Amino acid sequence: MTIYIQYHGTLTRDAFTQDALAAYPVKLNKFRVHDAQQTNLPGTASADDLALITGTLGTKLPSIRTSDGKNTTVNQYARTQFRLPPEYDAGNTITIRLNAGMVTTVSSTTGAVDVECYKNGAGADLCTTAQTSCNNLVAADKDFTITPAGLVPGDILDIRIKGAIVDSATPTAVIVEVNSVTVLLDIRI
Amino acid sequence: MATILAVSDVINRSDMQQEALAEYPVLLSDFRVHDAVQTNLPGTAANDDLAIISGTLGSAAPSLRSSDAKATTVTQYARTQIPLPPEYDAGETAGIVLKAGMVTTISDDSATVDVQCYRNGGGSDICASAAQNCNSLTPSEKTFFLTPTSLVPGDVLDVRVAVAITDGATGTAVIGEILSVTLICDIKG
Repeated sequence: MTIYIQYHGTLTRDAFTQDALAAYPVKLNKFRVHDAQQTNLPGTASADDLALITGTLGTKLPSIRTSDGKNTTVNQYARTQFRLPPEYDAGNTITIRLNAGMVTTVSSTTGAVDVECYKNGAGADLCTTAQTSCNNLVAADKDFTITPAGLVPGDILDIRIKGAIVDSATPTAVIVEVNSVTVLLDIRI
Repeated sequence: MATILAVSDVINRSDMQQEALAEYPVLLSDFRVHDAVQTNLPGTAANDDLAIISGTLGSAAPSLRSSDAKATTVTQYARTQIPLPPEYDAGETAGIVLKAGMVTTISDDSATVDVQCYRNGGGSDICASAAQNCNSLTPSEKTFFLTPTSLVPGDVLDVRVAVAITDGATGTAVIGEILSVTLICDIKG
């Protein structure tokens, strides 16, 4: 179909088709200790803090990992903020995608990731997806749906991710690893 | 005067003219210790780590610097991750531009900057340019072109910059400095 646009020298964003779920990777070094934002993530996970793992240059990007959860229970976190860009199509789809899996051994019970997300830091958790299993040595994309109602360009999403393990009978290391965090947005040029 | 444009449906990103080599400056504070990315760059370069130098507010932006290499050899690094934006025109030209030079004194032998770049952290180094001379007290831009085959929006470039100095007989400080790091890429929209 051909349509005609009367062009007066400027075009609004509405004139453009929506790019569905454009990818905005989050730099993992933007994550900080969830309850001490002045502090970078540690190199080794401990207490309730996930770690930032370097990865060998040329082999692997930095990743975020839990501590070893073999024969114990682990719930560890990391937190960042993401600004919705000017091209975000207000009120349209937002997904936070974690590529996650297990390192060394799967858990005998639970290996999972979760996302919490707050508009401008407060109100209700906008993430409607429950904690999701990643209990597999082959990492996979885990999508978390964000309720987009009321979200507009310039809003800040306060995002906390979690690695959760419940294990009771595994002799080798049981570690959750998040390889990447990507915010997928419907945008208009 | 109004012009009538005929387009198919509404305007797609692919309908737009390509903007060649759009610039995306990288915040130097996003660089981390190359083999311990949980760690900010130090304020003084040491071992194989470049430093981040504050610069006086109102006089100079932060920069990356080597240690003093007078009468010795220094090779030092810093590492960051750079996402390709949604508007990147897949497979088209991309590169990393370093503005670099020397502080206090040039080397009597060599001073260079270099870039390594890995698509999503793995595979081969896609930086197609060799190390470039920066042995001048007048900083200038050094462009490192990437092999763009397979690059798409949302890819994450794992980038390590290096400053390498060999000096044999200089009495005053011989310091390599990177004043800015910029992703350049062809975009639409």
